[in-house]
Amino acid sequence: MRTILLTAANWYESWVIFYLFAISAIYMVLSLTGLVDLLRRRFFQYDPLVERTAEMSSLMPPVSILAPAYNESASICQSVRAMLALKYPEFEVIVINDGSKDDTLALLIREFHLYKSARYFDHTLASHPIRAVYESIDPIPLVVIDKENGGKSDALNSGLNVARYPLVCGVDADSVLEESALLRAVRPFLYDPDRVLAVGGIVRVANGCRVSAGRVTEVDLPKSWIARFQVVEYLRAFLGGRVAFSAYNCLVVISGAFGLFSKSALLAVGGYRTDTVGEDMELVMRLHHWARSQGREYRIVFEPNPVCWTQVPESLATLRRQRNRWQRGTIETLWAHRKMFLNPKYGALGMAAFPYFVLFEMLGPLIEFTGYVLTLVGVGFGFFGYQTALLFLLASISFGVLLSVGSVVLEELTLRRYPRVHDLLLLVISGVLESLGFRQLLTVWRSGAFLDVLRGRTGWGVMERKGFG
Amino acid sequence: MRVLYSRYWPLLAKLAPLAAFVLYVSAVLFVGRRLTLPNLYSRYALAWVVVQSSALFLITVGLLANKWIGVRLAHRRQLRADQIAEQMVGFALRNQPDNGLLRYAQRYPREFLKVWEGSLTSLRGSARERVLALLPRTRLDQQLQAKVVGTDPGQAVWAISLLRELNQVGSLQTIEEALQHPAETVRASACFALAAHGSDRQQEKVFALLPALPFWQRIVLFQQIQDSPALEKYLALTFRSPDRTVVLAALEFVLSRQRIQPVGSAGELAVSPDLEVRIKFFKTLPLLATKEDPASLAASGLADVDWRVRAMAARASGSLHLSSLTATLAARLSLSEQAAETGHIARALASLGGESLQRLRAFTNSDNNMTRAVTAEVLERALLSPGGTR
Repeated sequence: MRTILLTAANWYESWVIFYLFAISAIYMVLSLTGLVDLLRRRFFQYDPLVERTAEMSSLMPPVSILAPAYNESASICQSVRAMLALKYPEFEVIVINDGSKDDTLALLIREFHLYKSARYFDHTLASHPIRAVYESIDPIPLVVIDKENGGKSDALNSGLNVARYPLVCGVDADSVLEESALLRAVRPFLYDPDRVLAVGGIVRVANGCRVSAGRVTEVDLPKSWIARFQVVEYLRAFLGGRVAFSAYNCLVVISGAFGLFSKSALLAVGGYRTDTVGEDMELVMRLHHWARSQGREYRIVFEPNPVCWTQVPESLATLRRQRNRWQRGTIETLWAHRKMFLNPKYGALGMAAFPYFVLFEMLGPLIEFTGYVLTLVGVGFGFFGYQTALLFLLASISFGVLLSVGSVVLEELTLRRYPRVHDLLLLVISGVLESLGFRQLLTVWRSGAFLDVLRGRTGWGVMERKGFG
Repeated sequence: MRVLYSRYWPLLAKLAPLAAFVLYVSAVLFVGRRLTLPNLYSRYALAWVVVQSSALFLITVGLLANKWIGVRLAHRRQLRADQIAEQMVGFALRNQPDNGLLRYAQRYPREFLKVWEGSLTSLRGSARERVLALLPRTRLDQQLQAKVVGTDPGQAVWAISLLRELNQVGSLQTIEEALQHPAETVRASACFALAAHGSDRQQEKVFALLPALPFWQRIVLFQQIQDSPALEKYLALTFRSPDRTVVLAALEFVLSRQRIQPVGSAGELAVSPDLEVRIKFFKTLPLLATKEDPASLAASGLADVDWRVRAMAARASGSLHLSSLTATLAARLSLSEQAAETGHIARALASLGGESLQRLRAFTNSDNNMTRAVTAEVLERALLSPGGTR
């Protein structure tokens, strides 16, 4: 019995070691690909005239901004004001009040002088009933849809029905877009109008930043370590992973907090799916699927310059709910599109990105979690020496730290949003500390999402809203 | 730097991360072979930790040192720039001679140019002219010209953005050379500069390039083009061009300028076999001073087989206040099945006012739900607009 257990433990340990090396290798190649791409962007910066002129041109494609809101009274007015102040020649802001139980709608009506409008719209996409559409009596391009609660995807589908412009931009109502975010995000649509279907911008952590009149006026790091860890996490995910996936046209996710889409493509794929909590990832997968089935050349792009600032959870309970939801979304989406797995018909997406997401994003937490447990069990029962286990733990941790610090380097080489040496030092320390407990905690929570999926758990869970005040 | 433009760059960009990774693995293997731990797994795990920790240490030190130096340099540069800016204000207001500024320009060209550039955006009139004339005296314009044709695309774009302000023959000639630059960003900047400040010959050169330029470059370029005989000549030719891209570019140009443009005869475009040309033509019609009667052109558009052309023709009818088309618009409204077309026709009728508005009101009783709803929306908007309904 002991021999069988020893063999099984050794076999599994070898697999975990292989997994660790493989994930390290892939992350490293992704980060380095991101670095090369970002450096190239740095060398080939466009004339500032481009942005100044585009802001005034009537040839720029108009954009409908869709902002679903559910119990967002803490920040909704500030967010809408920020959206209305965006630099862009022609756009409309469509706030979808998804049956909020607080006074989100009342605040909007009072603040922006809304009236019940006779605005016409098609019911192209199915959604929960719309109670009323409001527009402002003031000359501002604001539309508010008041509808029965149906979830974020349902709200976005309502917004898509009401939207009138050829490009639609999905944003979270509790996020703040930078003034020129739309101008920058729309660039790929201008450079390659026939092929680009969607563009994702970078999402950054707003906790700790000074926000006034709906604008981030001073960038600073959060006071809480949990939020600081997330700053490093976001940098790693966006500047390392997404830049690299975008370079190979196999971007799998565009953050729901900020993404710009061709409306016709969204309608062609049937809008957002309402039976998943990972609607942003699922939509991008479906766009890939649709474009390839149509045999059309297409691009789904990540742009690191357009910035959306968002509040990240500072309490462990909220963070746990968020990560559980993200993981459930990943599992649901990858399962729904399992046909793509190692399918050469989908090119780099099917052969590389999809397997990567299955192996490292979906199964990763489970493998890592069982690896920790088995290591402890193996050491406890004397199947292998604690020195070996400790060395591998050290190797895994140091690699995590290296990647985190690497993402800070990417940030510093390219966008440089953090102005002080002190900020960078804090980010490096956060990168180190994040690997000593925080990452492992997330691994445990994410592993729990498997159980929730098996139990058939749906829904978002309660998210706290602090606002930017 | 040249490698960035080479045709091998895409391959190199893909191979560079792999090469770095191979180097990393080699370092782990190299360290592993020098360790004496008996267990193979432990030996290479330790080697991995050693290599990663060393890389981490070097990266962290490099990162922090770079930031520390960068912050201090930026602070010093800002102090110098503030001093230069102070002198620049005095010079611009004729309170101070330029001696101090010329010395600064020689010692700290970067800071000087930054201040000079900033001054041009904030100053007007004679003060701006004085500041403009300062640059050639510093001879920094020659350095900038060298940067325009240099290999660094970022520096070239920056140099062009400064030199175009000078509006000098020599600078513009150098910028003209940059039309052949291997970097697209530099070529684009050169186009923008020549369109705004170039001679007739240089502008003609840019116009010839125009239809082949990417859409985003045309958007910027259109805003830069100044009225000139070269422009008139170009537009007169383009509207009769057999090349659809040339015609579309010309229509986009008029659309982006939002100014009435005399174009002579343009009736052929209204019946062009190219759908996109017809759509853009009717979109642009309110801005075109044509030999043909706009009402007859719009009427032909309202009879088009494609609803998008009809929608744009309806929009033009409203913008041009073509009351003679009221009956045609009302007839089209009763036939329209597309909400977007219905909306444009209804708005056109609303903007015509008077009898047209009465006709539009009748559609609030239409049997067609969509027509009824769109009409209600348009009437509501018209009522809420500053003038209300006429």
